[in-house]
Amino acid sequence: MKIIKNELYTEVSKVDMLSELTSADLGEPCLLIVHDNGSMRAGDEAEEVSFFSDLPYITALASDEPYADIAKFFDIVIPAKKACEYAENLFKDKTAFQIREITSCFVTARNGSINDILDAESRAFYRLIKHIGRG
Amino acid sequence: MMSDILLNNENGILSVVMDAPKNNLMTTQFHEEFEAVMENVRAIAEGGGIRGMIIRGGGRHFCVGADVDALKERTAKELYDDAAGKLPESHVTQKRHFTFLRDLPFPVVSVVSGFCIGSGSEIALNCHYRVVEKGARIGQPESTFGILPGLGGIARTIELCGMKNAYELVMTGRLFPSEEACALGWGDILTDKKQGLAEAYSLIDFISEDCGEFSPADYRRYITLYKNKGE
Repeated sequence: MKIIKNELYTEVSKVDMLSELTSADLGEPCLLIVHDNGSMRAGDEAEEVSFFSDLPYITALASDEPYADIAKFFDIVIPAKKACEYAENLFKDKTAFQIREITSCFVTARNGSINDILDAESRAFYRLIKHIGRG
Repeated sequence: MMSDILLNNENGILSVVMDAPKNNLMTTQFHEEFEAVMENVRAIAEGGGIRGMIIRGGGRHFCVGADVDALKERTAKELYDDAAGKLPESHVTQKRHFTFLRDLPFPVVSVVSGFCIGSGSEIALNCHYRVVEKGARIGQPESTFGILPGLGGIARTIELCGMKNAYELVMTGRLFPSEEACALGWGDILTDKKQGLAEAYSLIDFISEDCGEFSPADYRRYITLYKNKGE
């Protein structure tokens, strides 16, 4: 398994079993990108579901097969090629604080209700206003 | 004083026409008038007898969104203690006047033309349905100003467009055209220019005449039936 950690996203490749991720040091990204090697397997499905549902960042499977069996564990599926560019473009011209606040709303959406997300976006909004006010 | 946001009851269909200066720039006054109109809508809804509601811009544009500098200045004065967890009452009230649209017991349709930006797009997002005229430009550029859409924009975009599309749209803040809006699930019906209002009436007529009592939780079912009618 190969892990490249950036400030805002972590790229993982050469993964055979998703369960390998559970014990890996993935850093503290906003976005985890896992490259599909075409033969990646889940392992203990219940364990994977639990692991992915609790992660405090967005998980992306970089794959040209968006309906691959393992896609269901991830929040989103992005094109395999240029996954790095995808992340750079997504986060362009934003501060780490802002990216984390926006991401937190989407993490809430993974398991939360509409009301949970509505609440999360309001709180994130005011934290950002406060952050801007500090200059 | 004449209001910039007009509410009329036309044979059981409420019509909200936003006709404020600068293409419906959402100033403090705009928000106050919008909230007053929505309070009226709430009272009328409780009285029953309403078949639907249409929200649209009075001119070429639906709404260009907030005056960002005024928004930052106003909200910076509002006290929010993250540790205490209590949101400013003004925000809670303002947000309720956006999000309650989805709970109304009749279909709420926005007719989107021209620019539909920022908090303006959040008005549209909180409706049950969006009829989008060709030539519209839609988006939530809040992230490019250092903030995020806080009036239902994130929650509703996820609901309508899915996690991936919503994450991209909110994070980048990019604007997108009518055709893409409908492809993404943001828009429900694409029409030619100046045909959106007629389509909105047609949709409300269909739901009220052919679908029985409107259940807000089933809003997706009615639009599917409408699109498939005649098949």
